[in-house]
Amino acid sequence: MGPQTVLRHLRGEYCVSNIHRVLWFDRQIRQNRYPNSKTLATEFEISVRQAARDIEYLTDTLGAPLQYVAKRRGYEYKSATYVLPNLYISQDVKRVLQFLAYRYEHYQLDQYEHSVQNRTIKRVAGLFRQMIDGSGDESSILLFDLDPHRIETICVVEDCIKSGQQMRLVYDEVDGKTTEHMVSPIALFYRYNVDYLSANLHMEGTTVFRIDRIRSVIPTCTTEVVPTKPSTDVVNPSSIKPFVARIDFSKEAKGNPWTTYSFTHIADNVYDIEFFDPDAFINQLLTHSWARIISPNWLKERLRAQCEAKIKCLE
Amino acid sequence: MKKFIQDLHVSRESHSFVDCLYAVLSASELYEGPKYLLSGMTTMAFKFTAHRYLLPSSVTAYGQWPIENWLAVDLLGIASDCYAGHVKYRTFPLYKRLWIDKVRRAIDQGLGCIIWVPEFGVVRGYDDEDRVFFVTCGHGTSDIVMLYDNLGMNTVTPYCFYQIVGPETVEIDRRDIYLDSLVGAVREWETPFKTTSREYAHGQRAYEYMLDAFENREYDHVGAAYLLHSYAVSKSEIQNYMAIVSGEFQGLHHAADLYKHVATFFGDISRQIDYARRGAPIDDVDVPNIVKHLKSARVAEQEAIENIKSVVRELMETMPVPVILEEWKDERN
Repeated sequence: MGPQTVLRHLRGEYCVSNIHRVLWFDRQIRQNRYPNSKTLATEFEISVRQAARDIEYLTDTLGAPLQYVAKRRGYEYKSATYVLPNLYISQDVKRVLQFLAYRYEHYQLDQYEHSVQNRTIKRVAGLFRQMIDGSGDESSILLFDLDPHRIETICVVEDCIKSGQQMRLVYDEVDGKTTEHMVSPIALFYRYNVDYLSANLHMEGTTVFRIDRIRSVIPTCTTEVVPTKPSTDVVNPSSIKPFVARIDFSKEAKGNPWTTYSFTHIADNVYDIEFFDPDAFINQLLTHSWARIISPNWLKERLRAQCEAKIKCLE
Repeated sequence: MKKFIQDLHVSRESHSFVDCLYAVLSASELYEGPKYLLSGMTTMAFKFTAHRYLLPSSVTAYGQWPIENWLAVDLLGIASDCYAGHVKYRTFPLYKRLWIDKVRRAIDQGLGCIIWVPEFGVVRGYDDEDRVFFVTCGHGTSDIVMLYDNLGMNTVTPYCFYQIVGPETVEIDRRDIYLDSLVGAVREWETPFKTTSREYAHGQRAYEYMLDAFENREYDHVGAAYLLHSYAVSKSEIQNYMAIVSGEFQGLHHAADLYKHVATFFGDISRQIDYARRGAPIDDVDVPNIVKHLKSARVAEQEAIENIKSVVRELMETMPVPVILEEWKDERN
C-alpha cells in the first residue's frame, strides 16, 4: 500500500464503512473463522478486489501480522497479542486538529516572513489540514496560547542550547525592574503552563528564568565554556544521575560502537562516557577497544577483578 | 579518602531489614546472638502484610518505616537516626546532601547505614575520589556502587530511607525487651491496616487477603511465592524466639507450641512450592493445599496471640510497666 492510500486514510477517506469491514475481518479472525477476501466481499457486497485492498490495508498500514492458512483457505494472526490501533480520529481530537490547522495557517512571524520557521509552520498547518475534513464546531475546542514573542524566544534559546552559545537576556523582574544578564542556557522546561529556562549565570551559578518575562534575547559569538550539560538538580532534582567514566580511546575512537552511550569530548582521544548499569558497561569494556580507563577507580578495580577471575579459570 | 567496613556482611535469610540490622549491629559489636532473636525482639518477625494480589512489595509494606524501623531498634535500647521520604519532596536534595556526610561519618565509626535499595541494604563503604558509596544487599558477590548524588535513590520506587543505628545505647533488661516484643506482636496481629492504602492488609487480616487471592486465583505469581517463602522464615523465627521467651515467662508454652505448628504449616507450603523460588509460577495443583495450610496456620496463630495477650495482661498487673507499654495498658483497660 502506497503513500496515496495512507494519505486517503489521513484525509478521512478510509472512513466508517471501510473501518467497519476491517473490524469485522479482525473479529472473524479472533473467532477462528479464517476469513478471506471472498467472504469479506460477500459480507459487505463489495468487489473481491476492494476486499483484497482492505486486507492489504490491514497488514501494511495497521501492521497486522496476518498469515494465510492454506488448509483453512483463510487468514489468522501469527501473534494473538496483536490489537487493532484506533482507526479513526474522535470528534474532539478532530476539533483540536482543526483549530491547530487554522492557527498555524494564520500564524506569521513578521520579521521571518520567508524564514525556515515560517515554512515549517506552513508545512505543519498543511499536515493538520490533511488530517481533518474541514467541518466542525469550534465551540468547545482547547485554546493554545501561541504568543509569537514566546515562540521566537524559545526558538532562539533552543538554538543557543544546541550550539552552546552564550546569550544576552533582558529580563523583567517580579518587582518591575529590568535586568540584563549574560547567560549560558542549559535547558528549557514547562511547568504549570509556564515555560522556563535554566541557565548558568557568569560566576553566579544556575538560575531559572520565566520565558514570558524575557524581554529580549540576543545570541552572542561566545560559546559555552563552563557546564555544557543540563544540571539535573535544576531541571529535575529527583532524577538519577549517571556514572561517568573517563576513557582514553587512543586511535580506536573513530567509528566505534560507543555511540550508544552519551559522551563528552574532553581532550584528544579522551572522552567522558555516561552509563547507568555498571555490569552492562563492564561488558562493553570487555568486548570493545579502548586504551586506558582514567577514572573512576571502582570501575578499574571491578574490571580487574573480573579479568583476574577469568585468568584464574585458564590456569 | 576511602573507607570500607570489612566485617560487615549481609546474608539474605530473613526479612531484609532484619538481615541488614543484624549485619550492622554485628559489625559494630552492638549485638551478639542469633538472628531469630533479633528478629523477635524487634518485633520484625511478627510483621505480616499481604497485598490484595500478593505483590512482592507486601513483605516490606508493613507501615511507615521511620516509625516501624526506628521503633524496632529503639526496643533494643539503641539510638538511631533515620530519614524517610519521597524523592519528589522539595527538601529531599537537602536531606540527601546532609545524609551523604552523615553516612560517611558513620562508616568512619564502623557503622553501616541501612538504606532502601530496594529492598533494604547497607552502605558499608565510600570513596571520596570517585564520590561513590558501596552498598551490600546480600545478593551477588560484589557491592552495588552508588554515586553520592544518587544516595538512597533507585529506579524502581520513589521512596528513600536512611537509618544509622548506634553507637549510643542504654542497658535494658532482656525480659523487658521480650515483654515489649510480645505487646508488639499482639499489636501487629490486631492492626488490620498499617499503611494508608487498603490494598495492603496486616496481621490477622493479611490471612484473609492471602486466602482470597489464592481462592480466587487472583495473585501475582512471583509475589505470592516470595511472600510465602519470606513468611515461612518469619514464622520459623517466631517459633525459635517463643521457645526462648516462654522459658522466661510462665504460661507462654502453649503459644510457643502453637507457633511451632504455624511454622510447620508455612514450612510445608514453602517446601511444596520450592520450585517457585526461581520465578516459576505456582502450580494450580498446589493451591488447595496452600489454602488448607494457611487456614490451619491462621487458627493456630489466633490462639497463640490470645495466649500471649492473657500472659502479657497478667504480667503487666504484677510488674512495673515500661513506659512504652503504658499506652497499651490504657487501651486494654
